Amino acid sequence: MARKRGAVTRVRLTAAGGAYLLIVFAILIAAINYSNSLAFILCFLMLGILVSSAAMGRGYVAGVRLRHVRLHPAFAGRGVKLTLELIASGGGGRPALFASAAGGDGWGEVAGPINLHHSGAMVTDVGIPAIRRGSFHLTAVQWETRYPLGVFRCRREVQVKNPYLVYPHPQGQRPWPQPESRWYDWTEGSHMSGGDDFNGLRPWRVGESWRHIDWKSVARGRSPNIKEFSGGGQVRTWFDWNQLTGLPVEERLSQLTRWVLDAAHLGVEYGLRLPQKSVESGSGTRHTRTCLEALARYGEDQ
Amino acid sequence: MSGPQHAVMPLSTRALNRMKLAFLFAVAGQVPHLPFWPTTMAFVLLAWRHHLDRRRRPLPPPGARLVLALGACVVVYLQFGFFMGRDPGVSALVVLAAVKLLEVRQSRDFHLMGYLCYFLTAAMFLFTQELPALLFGVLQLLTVNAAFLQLYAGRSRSIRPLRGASGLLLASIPVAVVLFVLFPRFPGPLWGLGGAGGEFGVSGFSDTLQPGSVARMVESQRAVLRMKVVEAELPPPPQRYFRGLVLWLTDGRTWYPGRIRESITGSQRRARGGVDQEIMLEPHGQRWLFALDYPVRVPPGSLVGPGNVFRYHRRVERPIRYRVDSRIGGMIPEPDLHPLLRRMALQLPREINPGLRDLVEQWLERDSDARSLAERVLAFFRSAGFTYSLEPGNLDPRDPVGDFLLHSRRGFCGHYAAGFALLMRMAEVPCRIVAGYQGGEINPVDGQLVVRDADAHAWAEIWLEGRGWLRVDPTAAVVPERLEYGGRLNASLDEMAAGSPEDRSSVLRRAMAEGALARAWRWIRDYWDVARNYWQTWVVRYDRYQQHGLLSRLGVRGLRSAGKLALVLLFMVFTWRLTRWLFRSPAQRRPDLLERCWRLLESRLSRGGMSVEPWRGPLDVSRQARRRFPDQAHTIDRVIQTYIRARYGNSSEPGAGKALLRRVRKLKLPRRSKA
Repeated sequence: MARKRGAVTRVRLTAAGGAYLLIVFAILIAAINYSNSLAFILCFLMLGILVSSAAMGRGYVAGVRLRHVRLHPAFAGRGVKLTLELIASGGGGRPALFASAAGGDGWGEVAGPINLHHSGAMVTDVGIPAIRRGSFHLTAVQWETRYPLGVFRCRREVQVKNPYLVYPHPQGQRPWPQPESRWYDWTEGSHMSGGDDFNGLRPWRVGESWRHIDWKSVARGRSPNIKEFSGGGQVRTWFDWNQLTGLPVEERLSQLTRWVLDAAHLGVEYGLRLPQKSVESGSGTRHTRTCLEALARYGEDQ
Repeated sequence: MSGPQHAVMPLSTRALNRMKLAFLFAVAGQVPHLPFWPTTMAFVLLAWRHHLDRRRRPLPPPGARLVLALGACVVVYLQFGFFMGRDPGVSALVVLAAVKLLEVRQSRDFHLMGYLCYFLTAAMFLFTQELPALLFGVLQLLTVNAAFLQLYAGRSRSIRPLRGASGLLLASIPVAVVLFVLFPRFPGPLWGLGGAGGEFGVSGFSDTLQPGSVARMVESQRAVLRMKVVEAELPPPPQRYFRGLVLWLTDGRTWYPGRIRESITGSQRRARGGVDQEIMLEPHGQRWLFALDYPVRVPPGSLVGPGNVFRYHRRVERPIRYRVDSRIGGMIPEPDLHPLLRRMALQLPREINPGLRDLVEQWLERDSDARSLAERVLAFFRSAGFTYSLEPGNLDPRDPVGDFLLHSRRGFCGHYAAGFALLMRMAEVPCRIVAGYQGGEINPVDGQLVVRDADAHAWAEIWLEGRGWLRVDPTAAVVPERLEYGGRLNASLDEMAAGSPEDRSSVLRRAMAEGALARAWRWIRDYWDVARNYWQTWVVRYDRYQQHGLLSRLGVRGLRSAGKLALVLLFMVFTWRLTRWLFRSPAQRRPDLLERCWRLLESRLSRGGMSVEPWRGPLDVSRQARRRFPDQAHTIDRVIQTYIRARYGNSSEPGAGKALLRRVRKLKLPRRSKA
């Protein structure tokens, strides 16, 4: 069955299982020493229970299937969040599961305990580490249980191949590049304090549009300022790879990401120029995503 | 690639409550075997913990727990005065586990608590190995495992911990049975028993005999030994004398066995006896073993000492089984008597009642032969108004035998044997008293002879020069029925003694007749006896001899320990495969209706040329399929929406799965090769 390809179930003894074995051994020694038949029986029952508990936990995790994985975009330095949908069909109990996933930067933290819905489905969020930017594949999803006795960790690992992107870490101190004029708003005229050229900042007055507030400085705790542009209409800013001479590649990408995010935040129009690729000027979520993807994939084609 | 980190299971109230129950059971199993204080303290601490949890109050601080632990040790020390050995050890385990219960906060403590409960179950088996103990132990095992199941079930309400634990237990029984049969048994302890073997101390037989002492035992119906005769007929009731110990010395009131060097045996031969018996003996804490009078060939680990006394190499502190060959008939042929033994067999108390001297001198004037002198004494017992009584009344403590023979003339087997022996010795006939059992009854369930405390008996043996020891049972002279009916007659003896010979037979009939209730009780007792015997034979006393016998009966011969261990391992692997099959998930067995709908849909879609990756969710698949099959987009979307509602919705309507399956079946997609 295609569904089973790349799926393995593993059973490992836990530390508690080691202690359990030690106790079985101690009872065995006592049984031998005192020729105590009932202690023998207890010891052998406990051994049998050990074996069947491994089978029981294994049976449960083997019956759980991965139905769906949804990946959420993320920036390097923070984890990638992904939503798993696990499904346990058939009757029987649904003990607690712990789930985790592995991507380009290894295994993420284990999420749990989670219990499957009574109808068999469960949605949970797990994370995987994202240290480097770039495009990666989710390689494996695993879920485990220590049911029934905690002496075994029964783990099912499913190989998957879901692509995901990690955008560069947004960071950088370089000043905002000079905007360039794109068009002139003839209807509003040059007397309006809008235009292509970035004139500087002035305090925001009540009743004014929030659109040009410099939110970045607000976030730093200052009073709201308006970014003033001369020339009217929209401004267009180019974030150019070549503006950032003297920086290593990843730091350049980080700075560009920072600018893209700020520009997206301010709602200004911007374009991106990378050595191999450039994104035409624009704005909006889709545009931002295109730019971020270009940044994440930088250097992939070579 | 290494696996992900391990996450900790949070402790739930429900799991904790189950563990408290398991601990309650574990301590309850110790109550009959331990002193009052340790178990009571454990119960009190358990109740306290439960109270704190219910009131959501904080647990006692570490300092308080330390004080409690020290207090627990003091309690144990005050109770026993020492810490080594079984009883103080288990007591300390009980109280310290109870203190540990006060600090259970996380799953690690929880595990420790459960493991302590396993230990307590094992400790219970050091005290008792009866069948009820095993049943209770299994119950304890179940409750502990149910607590673990509850912990690892998490918040799930769909888990029934006790059912799961029972499933585990049932699945483990086959491997446990095979391991029990095959696991190599080793002789002897690895270290000293340290008082851990003592499960005896119940039998009433002491190694001395006072004329009235046997009477104290006759009320008890406890089974003492069970006997099966191998390849021969069971001897008739009058021949069922079980020889126990021989008493040589007396001070006029009490009879003692005396100390005789084992080199003075004279009677140990390797002859065939003729009655080969298999005996299961309950523990009595002494070294002697019982066998039909008299034992000739005895098993290794035991010997026949002076006085044809059959002895074990150590005290009988747990039930044992042995095979012994006896020669019956009442005569122990021996050519001569060792001078020391002769002196002992003629020893008399310092003061003797002058009335007795007169009596014996009268007899000596007419007879000098040992045998006819014995007949005279028996005739005296028969004719001089002697009666047999369970309540002989108070005898003169300074001269009980003289008082009995000359005045009260009411007594039990001990009185008769002691009186007979004294009279014979006064007549210069070497005589000794034998204590043991006489009678027993056959259990109709398995045909074995069961001997009870009530069958305890004492008789005498006289020395016939050049021929050997002859058994003389003076009690039989007074109540011949005693030989036929054994201890069952005890309750009617007084009544019988009072009446005429005609009355005797009617009393006897009445004594043997039983009401329906009594019959039912006897029936239960017979079956219980047999069950217990099988239990003792095949479980409690299952040792390497039993194992060897069983394995050769199964056709496995000459298997060494290593071979047995290899077989054991092989069977463990087999069990692993078997339980894997048993516990395969329901989904592996047969997917549920919704899952079958989904798989059918998937196969339809992929036949249409669309590849459905396993990790794609229903919405994704729906989007993909609608693009792929625009003509069917609406139907596909409705099917998938129904699936989503049924699978992820909170309330699933009954019959939704079947309706969905019908709709998926109706879905006709164009067949295309994969694009």
